[in-house]
Amino acid sequence: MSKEIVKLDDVCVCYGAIRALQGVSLSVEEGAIVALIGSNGAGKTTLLNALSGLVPVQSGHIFLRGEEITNEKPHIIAQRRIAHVPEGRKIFSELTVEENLRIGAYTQYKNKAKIEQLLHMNFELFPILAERRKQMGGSLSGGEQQMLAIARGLMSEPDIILLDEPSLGIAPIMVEHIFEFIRQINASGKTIILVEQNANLALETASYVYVLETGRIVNENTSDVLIHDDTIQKVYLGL
Amino acid sequence: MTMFFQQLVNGITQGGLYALLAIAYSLVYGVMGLVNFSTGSIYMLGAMSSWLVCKYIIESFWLSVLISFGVGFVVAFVLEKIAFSAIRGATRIASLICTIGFSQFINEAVALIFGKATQGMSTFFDQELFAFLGVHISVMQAVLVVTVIIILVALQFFVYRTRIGLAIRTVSMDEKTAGLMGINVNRTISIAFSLSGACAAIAGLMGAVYYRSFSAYMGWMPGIKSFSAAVFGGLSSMPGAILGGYLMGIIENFGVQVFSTGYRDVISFIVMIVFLLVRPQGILGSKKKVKL
Repeated sequence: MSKEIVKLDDVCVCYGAIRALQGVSLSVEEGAIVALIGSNGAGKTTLLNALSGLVPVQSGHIFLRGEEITNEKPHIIAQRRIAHVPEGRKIFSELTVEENLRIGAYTQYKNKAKIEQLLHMNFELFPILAERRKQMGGSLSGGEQQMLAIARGLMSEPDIILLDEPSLGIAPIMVEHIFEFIRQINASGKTIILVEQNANLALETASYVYVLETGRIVNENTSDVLIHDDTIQKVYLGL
Repeated sequence: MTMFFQQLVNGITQGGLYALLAIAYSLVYGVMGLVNFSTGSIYMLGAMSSWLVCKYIIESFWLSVLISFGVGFVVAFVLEKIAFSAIRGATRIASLICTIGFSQFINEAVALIFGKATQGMSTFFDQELFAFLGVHISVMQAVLVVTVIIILVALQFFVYRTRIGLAIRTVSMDEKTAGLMGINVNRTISIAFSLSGACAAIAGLMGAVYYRSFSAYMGWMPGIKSFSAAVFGGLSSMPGAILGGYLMGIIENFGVQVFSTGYRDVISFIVMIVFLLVRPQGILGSKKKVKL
């Protein structure tokens, strides 16, 4: 039985009068790929943002390895080995691929040897980035930018990676590549929390899936079970 | 020809002050996307502290530089805590107006304490360095030019070669994502802001030395002019701000030569307005390109 690494307990987030998360509880086991699915505005991105400290949590608790991290500043959470690959990738478009990666290793700025080693590792994992290392981030295709965003996340040597819609706006062939990378990264021992609108993809990739609707978790189970669930098939898979 | 070189030398000296002030605007604009309209007042405070040092402690240029640096740094640090951190989340315009209010407050407070009249400042490095074909360069001019260059080079090193510099550049590009990279955004903004204040205050000290005077309202014109210079060079680019500052100084001094002293301020602003009509992002500034 593996250990619980992330836990949300009755978390509520509001944007003014809009209640984006209304008492969400979930638990992620170390080394798992957990996916959050749901339609637009269900609160998936808000959940990741609450986890990485980008939005304030009104009530409830977030735990990392049993220690509370609720409402910590984003940089503190990043230093605790959680890498958030944000929605829309947020590449530094005026910097080169390599500079983008080096910023990803900000938390280990002093350890030059480590940074070189991580660069090397990422270039090996994503050969296309090695080819483009002197190119501006903004000149890459959507799929390449997504790889860069993931690689930049890996540069901080995280234990947990939060991936927000890695398939959004990317050519289908690239999406397959990217999800292959996600599985590889997971196989190297990293826990992955994945937000994905494409339920098919999420169910194929993740071991455990939470279904969000208007800020609440309405269903959760292992993907093997959910894939045969009637509602899921109708609403999210269009079968 | 003699006049040409003389005005060029004067322009570079004065341009150095504008460049320092323009950098001050650019640093804050970079990390916060906001113009700090109290920069001119911090310039005046820099001048004031060096004036006080020379009057009551010791007539030392280098001690004045240090004191001005410290005063500018601390005042800007406090201003950031009051005008920005405390009301973060409020609209941008609120912070902007706060800097204008702070500026007025500083100016009037100093006017109340030391009077509104212009006060004489100690003279430094009064000797002539050399005269060549009628072009006169004083030791003071040389010291000012060299000091500004040293500060600008040090600043470039700081911003492009250190960890805090990397944080400043990253926050300038994307504050939210910078936080996700493990960068302490609030602290970075605070450091950039304080540094900007230090630059403005040193410019003020140099202004006081150059014009041999100090007054409570001396920061207004240089403040507004170097803001224009920063926009002229490209507000979002540090090299652009430096270039804009020097160009502003040079244009102004040539303008005085061609027209008359009375048109000094008019000429520089006209040149800037015309230029910005053609290239609104400034000389080195870039239009934001976003690929989604």
